[in-house]
Amino acid sequence: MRSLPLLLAVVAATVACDGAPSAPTPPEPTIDARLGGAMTVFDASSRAFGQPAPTLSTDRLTLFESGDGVFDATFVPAPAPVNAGLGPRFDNVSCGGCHVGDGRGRPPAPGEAFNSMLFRVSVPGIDAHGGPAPVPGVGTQLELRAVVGLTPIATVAIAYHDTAGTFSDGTPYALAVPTYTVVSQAGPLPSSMMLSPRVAPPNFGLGLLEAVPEATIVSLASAPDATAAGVAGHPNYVWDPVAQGTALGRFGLKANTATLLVQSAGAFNADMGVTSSVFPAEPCQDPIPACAAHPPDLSGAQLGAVAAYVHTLAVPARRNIDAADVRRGEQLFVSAGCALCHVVTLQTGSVANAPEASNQTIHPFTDLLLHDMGPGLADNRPDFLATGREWRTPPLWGLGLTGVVNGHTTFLHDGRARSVMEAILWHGGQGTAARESVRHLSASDREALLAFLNSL
Amino acid sequence: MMTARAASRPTAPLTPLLLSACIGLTMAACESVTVPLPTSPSPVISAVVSNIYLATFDSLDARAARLQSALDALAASPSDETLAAAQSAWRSARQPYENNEAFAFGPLVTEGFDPQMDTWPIDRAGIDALLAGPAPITQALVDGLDGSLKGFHGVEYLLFGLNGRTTPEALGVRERDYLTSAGASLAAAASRLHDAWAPTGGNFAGQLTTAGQSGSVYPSMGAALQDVVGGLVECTDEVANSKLAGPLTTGSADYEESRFSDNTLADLENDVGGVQLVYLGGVSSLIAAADPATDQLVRQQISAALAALAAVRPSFDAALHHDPALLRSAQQAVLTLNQTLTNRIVPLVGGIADAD
Repeated sequence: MRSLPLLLAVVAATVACDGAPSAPTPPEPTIDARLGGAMTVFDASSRAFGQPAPTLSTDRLTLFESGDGVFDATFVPAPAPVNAGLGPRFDNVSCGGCHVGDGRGRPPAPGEAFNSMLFRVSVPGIDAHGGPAPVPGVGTQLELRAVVGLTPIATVAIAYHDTAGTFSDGTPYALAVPTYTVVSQAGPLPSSMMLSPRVAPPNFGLGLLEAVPEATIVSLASAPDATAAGVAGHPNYVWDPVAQGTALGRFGLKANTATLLVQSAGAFNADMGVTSSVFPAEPCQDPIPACAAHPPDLSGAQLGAVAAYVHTLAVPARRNIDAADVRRGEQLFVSAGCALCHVVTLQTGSVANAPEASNQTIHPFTDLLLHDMGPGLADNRPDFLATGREWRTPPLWGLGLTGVVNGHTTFLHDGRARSVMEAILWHGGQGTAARESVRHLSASDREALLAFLNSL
Repeated sequence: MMTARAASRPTAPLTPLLLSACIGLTMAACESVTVPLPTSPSPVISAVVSNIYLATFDSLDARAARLQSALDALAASPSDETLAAAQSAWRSARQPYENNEAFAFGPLVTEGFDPQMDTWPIDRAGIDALLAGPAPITQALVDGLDGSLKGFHGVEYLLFGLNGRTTPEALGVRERDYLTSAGASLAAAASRLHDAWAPTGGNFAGQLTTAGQSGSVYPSMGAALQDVVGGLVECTDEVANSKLAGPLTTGSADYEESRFSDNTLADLENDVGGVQLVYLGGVSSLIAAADPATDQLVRQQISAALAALAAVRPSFDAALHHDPALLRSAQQAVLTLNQTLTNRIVPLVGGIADAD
């Protein structure tokens, strides 16, 4: 609606007015600018990930605004007159504290606190629903902060050492390998404890991912091209505490959550110690009153508004789609095999309560499936059907705006990759062949591939 | 995030190419292109960055340092005079901080300065527990505390007291330690924030002024302009829909931004004052070139919002309890401004961004 008639007008006028032949019109890009279909916004600023879908009804926009307020609200320990319910153990005090600009978290700089990165933990075995087995006395998350008077469970230190590699043209590169050291503060931790470091993932476009039909995701697990290449993924099936049953996992870095409502409630609970009807128990087992049963900290309306907020955050449009190197990079992305897992195009279904996300052609660059990414990236901590070497293909939309939104360009589940190229070079397991294709590209082709990825 | 809503569909891409494209075509094909070509955003960005943004961080740095000194003087020699001087220094430092809320992006957000300096609400019980506890209160301790236990409002809590009526005698040794430590921590954060923007330091200013060039996080000058204008939208949204709506909806002083000092009204005037600084400091000229009537409308509505806030008397808290209609009319005026920025300025800027 915006661009097509005007672009046609440009071409017509260039010929008609100048009387001279215009430059050859580039062919229509395969992947258009509107990565989120009608839920796309044209914003390339630091607020690019925080915009409501342009097609929201007045009621849905009001709900969005309300949820935005709760998403950014600072919670404090109860009792308190405003926003009570934080902790007693927590990793941050607001949703926006980790999901800065609704974007990507990062590991702390030296001397900095962990603000947008957390640590899931468990011991070998499974819980009653097939999920990770909680660490006795701790649970499934190593909250690094606590209210005044309560000692945090642990501190974590990260050290990196470089490992060297070379592109096939001889150009050297280095990848930073992290080592995590946990020092318990509030009592011994079991030696069998498994540690999964995770930075906050971007939280826009999720309503569209929730609207992708389950059958589509399941069918991608047997997609002929991915199967032939030996890189087909598989879905996670996880416990849904609302439906009280097993459901397809879509969200979280291991597709370990079925719905945005549960994802939001789970983050409030595990990351902030804020309870709700979905997760009514505090995620702490200390013998103190603050950890005992109490009415939910968050009202149903507040939780619903936050879920609606993340459901309706729009996807920013691509930029520079007609640039020659971007177009070439797009072809390289496909020919290198990246698109076998980072599936370019999906179609959303019809969702009764989410008209804005329904029936859209979207370009999320994910199959929402789990893939073996090799030992280098393994967290060695299973999560429902995800093994310790598997991660869910992350969407790539918005990738090129990470710097402007978040002030950094670190990637992967624990932010170890210091650039998009490093993230590619970390691919192992089912990502090995694609990585090797990229490693064998010429320098100019690598630049073109990055130009394409940065156009997302 | 609190959002500055982007134009989903920029109404009118404003490139010279598109404008020339209309020549010779029917009006039907071009009727959406109705505004003249604006001047380039680049000089506007440069002017706003150096005259408003950097000047505000200079002022904040200096005033936070003066607050630290005043808190040190108060702790060294508590008296009515040193208390009043420290309270005055706190109010003074608030002004540039609130101005900065009209451009709350960049290091303030990505480096976590805002939670360190201005978390709201504070954890009063936590600060009480800290004061009652045994741990020595030092700047290093305060630096490591959660934002809700320090910052402007943590200092405000002790400097003015729960009901705004603290006395020099009420400040014991640990209260004074807290004030000097939290004051030092706040001043250090203001200094780092200043350095993060300064061309001689982290030079975030340069990210904006070189937008679109290699090395800048901004993919285009238009994207930088979106941030400049987005800051105005976000700030007016927060004032109307949070800072005024919270107290008005609940009728509770606990929702006032600076409830211990009753500085809330000044905070809000400085928020909208920041919007005025940025708008008149450059954005206006760009809008005036594209759509003079809309520029006039925004200027009028900024003035009207400031006038409606100035009409709130004698203080925010008194008005909340005795004449909330004054606050409602201020809220409406700020909301009106917010809607004009959202519905008319953002689309214009989106067109510029799209054309860039």
